[in-house]
Amino acid sequence: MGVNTRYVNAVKQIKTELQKRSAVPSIQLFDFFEEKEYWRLRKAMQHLPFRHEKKLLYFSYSAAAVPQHLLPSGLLAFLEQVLGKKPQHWMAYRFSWKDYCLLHDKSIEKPGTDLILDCTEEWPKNAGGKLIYTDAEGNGYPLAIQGNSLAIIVRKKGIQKFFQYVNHYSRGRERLLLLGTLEKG
Amino acid sequence: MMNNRELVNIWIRKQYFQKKQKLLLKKHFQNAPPFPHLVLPNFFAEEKLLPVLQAVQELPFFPKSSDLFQFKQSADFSGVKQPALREFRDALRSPQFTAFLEEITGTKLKSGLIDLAASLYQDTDFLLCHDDRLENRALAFILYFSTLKKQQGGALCLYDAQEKLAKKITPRWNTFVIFQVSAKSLHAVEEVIKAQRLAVGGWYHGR
Repeated sequence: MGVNTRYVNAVKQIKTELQKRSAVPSIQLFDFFEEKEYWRLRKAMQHLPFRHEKKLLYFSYSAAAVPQHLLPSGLLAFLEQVLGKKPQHWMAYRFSWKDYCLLHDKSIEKPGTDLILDCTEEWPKNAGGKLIYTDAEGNGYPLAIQGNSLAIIVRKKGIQKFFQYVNHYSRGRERLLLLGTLEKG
Repeated sequence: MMNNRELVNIWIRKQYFQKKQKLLLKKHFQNAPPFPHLVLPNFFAEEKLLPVLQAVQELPFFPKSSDLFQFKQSADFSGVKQPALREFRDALRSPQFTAFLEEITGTKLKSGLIDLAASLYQDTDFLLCHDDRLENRALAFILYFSTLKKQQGGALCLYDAQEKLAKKITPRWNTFVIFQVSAKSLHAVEEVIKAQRLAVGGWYHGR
């Protein structure tokens, strides 16, 4: 399967966690894949044809579409069990020094569910680069930066996300993320 | 009330009030790419500025961070008690100084009304690109207390309409920078690297 059996056997608890009343219902599953599967996926991601994209007032990062065949079948089966469906569209993102992604009034995301697979390794704690969710009151909910983790975030109305500016302590390193999205309904 | 001559003598270096110089500044302001701005080195009289610096260094700074910025800022000077800061604020919002800015920028400004606070950028602090448009702001200003080397970052970056970097202004002690606030005034403060960037800044409002 490729997914850590700890999580395959805990689908019910994960579903319960995501249904809890909270400002940002979410769960982050560490050591999500079996070791071998994680490193295979990470290597495949690093070889994607990334292109640097920058819109000064919005974002700066490198992105690449992820072909479905690169995704472990265990991941999609697991997500279908937890969420009732699996995202069809995945993008890979690389953030390095000076990259960011801002909140913006003109690009408000519709409610839905985000799936964040973190493949970042050896990231300095003081380098910025956190993915942070915000609620309507402006409170921030940062995700932990950890390779081989899957975060599932239910974005209710008013929940947005931004990617914190990556500072000079990141030099030579990059955040590597896979993002799948399910729109509500 | 001070007249222009008194203001020149007390706060601002004499050369900036000469008629020829003002005409030149006006021309430079309007034609400065990528949008109207001026960089005025050695602008204030040192003997007036040093007590202001000392008072600013004693202010409490509060961390501010969002998706767009990370730095420390003081409270607005409208509430400060230190005589040096009150006097400085009074000079900046005086009818004489406002008239001087109107003359060199061609912008109608409200006399007496300014936003003014100190900012402190330390290692990794930054301000990403934005245009400053808010609440009738007409003219932005920054006065640097720090002198930074290029490799220490902290420069004020001005962008053109195509969102390309057009100019970098590296902070230097006693340099006063002003720029017109508009949809074109795209600017940022680049990340500070292992240094400190102390400045005061704010906005004049239009009338």
